[in-house]
Amino acid sequence: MTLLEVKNLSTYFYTKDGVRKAVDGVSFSIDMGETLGIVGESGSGKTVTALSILRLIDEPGRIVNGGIMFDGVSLISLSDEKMRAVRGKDISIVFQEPLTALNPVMTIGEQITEQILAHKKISKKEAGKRAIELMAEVHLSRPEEIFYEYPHRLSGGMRQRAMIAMALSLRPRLLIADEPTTALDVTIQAEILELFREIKEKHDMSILFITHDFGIVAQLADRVCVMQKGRVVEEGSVDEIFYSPKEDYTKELLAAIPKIPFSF
Amino acid sequence: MLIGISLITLIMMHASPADPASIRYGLNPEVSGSARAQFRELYNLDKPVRTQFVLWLKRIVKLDFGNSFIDDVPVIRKIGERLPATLLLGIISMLVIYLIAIPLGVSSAVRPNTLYDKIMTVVVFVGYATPTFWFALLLIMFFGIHLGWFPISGMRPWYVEYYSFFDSFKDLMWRLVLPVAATSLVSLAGISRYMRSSMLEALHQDYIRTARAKGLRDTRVVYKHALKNALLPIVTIASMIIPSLIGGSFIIETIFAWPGMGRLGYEAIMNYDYPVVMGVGVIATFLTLLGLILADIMYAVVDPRIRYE
Amino acid sequence: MSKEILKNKQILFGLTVIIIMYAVAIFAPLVATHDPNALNLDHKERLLPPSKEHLLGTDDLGRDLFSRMVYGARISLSIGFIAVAIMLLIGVVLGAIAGYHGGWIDSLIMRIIEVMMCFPSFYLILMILAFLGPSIVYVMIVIGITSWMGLARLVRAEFLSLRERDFTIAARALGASDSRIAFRHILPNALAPVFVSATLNLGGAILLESGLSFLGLGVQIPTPSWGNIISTGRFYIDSAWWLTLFPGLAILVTVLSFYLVGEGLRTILDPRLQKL
Repeated sequence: MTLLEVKNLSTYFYTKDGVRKAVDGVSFSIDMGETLGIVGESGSGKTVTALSILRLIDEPGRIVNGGIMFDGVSLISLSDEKMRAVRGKDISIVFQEPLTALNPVMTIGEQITEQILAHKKISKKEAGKRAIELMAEVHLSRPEEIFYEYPHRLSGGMRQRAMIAMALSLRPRLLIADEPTTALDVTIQAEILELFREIKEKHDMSILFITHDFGIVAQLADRVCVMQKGRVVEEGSVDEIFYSPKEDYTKELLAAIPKIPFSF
Repeated sequence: MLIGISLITLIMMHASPADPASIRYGLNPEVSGSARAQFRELYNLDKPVRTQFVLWLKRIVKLDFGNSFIDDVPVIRKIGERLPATLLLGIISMLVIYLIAIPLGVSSAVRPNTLYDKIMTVVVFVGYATPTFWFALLLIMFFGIHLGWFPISGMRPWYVEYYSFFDSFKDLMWRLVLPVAATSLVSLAGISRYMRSSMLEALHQDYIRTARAKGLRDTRVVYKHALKNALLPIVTIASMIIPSLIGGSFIIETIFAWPGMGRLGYEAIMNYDYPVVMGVGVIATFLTLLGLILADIMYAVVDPRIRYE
Repeated sequence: MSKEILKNKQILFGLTVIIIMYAVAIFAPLVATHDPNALNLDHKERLLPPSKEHLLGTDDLGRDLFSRMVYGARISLSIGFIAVAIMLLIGVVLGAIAGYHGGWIDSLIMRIIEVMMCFPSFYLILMILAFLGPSIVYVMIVIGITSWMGLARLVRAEFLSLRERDFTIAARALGASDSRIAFRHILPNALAPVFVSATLNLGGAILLESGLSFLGLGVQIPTPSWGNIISTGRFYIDSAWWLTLFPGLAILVTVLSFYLVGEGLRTILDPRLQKL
């Protein structure tokens, strides 16, 4: 069952230096419970695609063309208020750099609870309890203490877990992850990926995982979309892409994965 | 930091007595020879500069600035009488400045480059370029004389004893309007401009994108997330306004016949009332320093990132 | 970049006004309609409102206001200019030394800056002028001495950051002497904030001078300065409004132009601000 269908999406940026076609005619779809990996170099339009789905594109950018169907509803034509209701609740996103993505002058607890309270009419106390449950779910140790901490006091890995907790708080049906591990240490990367695997198994959630790292894709994704310069170059299941890539660009990207030389 | 402050005060006070001392007495032919000698003895001017300085410091700590040359009243007493008036003017001005400048700046930032923003920018620039004393005079001309709305001089009418508490309070408020307006103008312009750019910078940060991605309402995003961050540097700016408020008080108080320390200092300067001049100078610097320390503390209070250091 | 500078409307407007003002000041004898010092104690000529004969009216001694203001422009503008020149000299040199050498010189200079910024500078100016006797020269010096701190900090910051840049290290590796590096290599890059600061402070200096003249500690009567014209006007505030209004307007417009140019330059030269 298709959850998200993106058809011919084009998002352009109109700057004084000309038009930048960040996303140019991109189409893909995600089924329920499926994890789609979008791979590409920096500047290929992956992040802009994700932001377009959530309609978070600001001046001087605009979605100029295309359709985005989410569970039968056209996101492009939703009113601002209705779109706001979708964000954070049905579709949520985890960003790349948790230090800047979190507000430095608000506690972790505040930032999680405010999201819950924006979409659900429960008491602050209940929201707080729920937040702590979520923090435990993402394996944040001592969640009751972290609740009152500020982002700069946490390590990078902890911050990212907090962001993931926020993203999961209202059990969205689609979770978008925009290079969530790129800014982290390698060991922490592995932990966070493990967390994503857990989430994938436990919840019936679709995930749109954006990365430039094929290795990550291999671990998490069911299907893969390769993007270059704002277009989808190739699409297929993980096996298809890895073992029988069709396009040259895909082959180049695969060849670029550093191979560990074995010597005995 | 404490070392810095004491060093600062030390150096500052060192600069003061040495300079004007010799110059002042040199220029004043009215003081006769023997009177001068007495004077010298009284104020230890015959001792080497270093000793002078130490003696001076000792007296300062006790707040003993000597007596006014004019009426022989102890300087601290004179300052004490006038200080509250200046503080009143200063504090109310600060409040007015912040209460007006912050909303003004924010309102400009949330609609950048619109007509409103452009007009406000022009207004702010004009305000910034206006000479305070001239503005004060204009206010007097227009609101005081022409329209007759506000009284234009003095802090209390001579018949104040006949007023009930409420009436005298009202009278005071009324008299404050023009001087406060004149004092606030320039700082108002500066701060609202700063608020605008601080707010704009905050609105461009990543966490704003996160907040919107969470589905929060725009008002909440702006006022809770952005504003809280944007206000941080504004607090430290307070430390920069205080010196200008103190400096500006000299002019404003003179124009409005406000019985404050600034006017006292100005008159003392014109009358070569050396002890008073020194006293006012020291107190003014002290107030500035106090303001700076307060601003530092405030910054630590509002910014959680600094708190733990 | 100079193209951008000249295209900016704000700067153009400001520059135009400034050029006009300076032109008026320089060509004062040609522009003025009357002799600014010609007293006319005939009470029919005193305190006249603006008219065809006296464009901006006359003051309490029968002197033509317009002419006085024209000559006053000379005074105010040149004071501003020289005061800023002094400020630039002190600020750039001290800032450069502090930023380039670092170490104890830097700490010392920074301490001095902090001390001076703490002191209510206006009061200091008043004191110095009162005790030394007000004169145009002293005014210029004193304004210069009290405003260099901000610029020094900026220059220092620029030097600190540029010192570690590749081209500096390259120059040093090639054996260039310290002062040569400082002047030929770093300074040109550090100039941007200097221009901005100079322009903005020119405006500030004019404001200061007018305030001082107003209080009687700046330019002395009978030499006309916009500030001291206003101070005489103060006594006739209820009758001769033109004595207060026009000089003040002149100050406002002039200072405004300097601010416009300065802010415009700042927006262009500071790439960060361009997005805003």
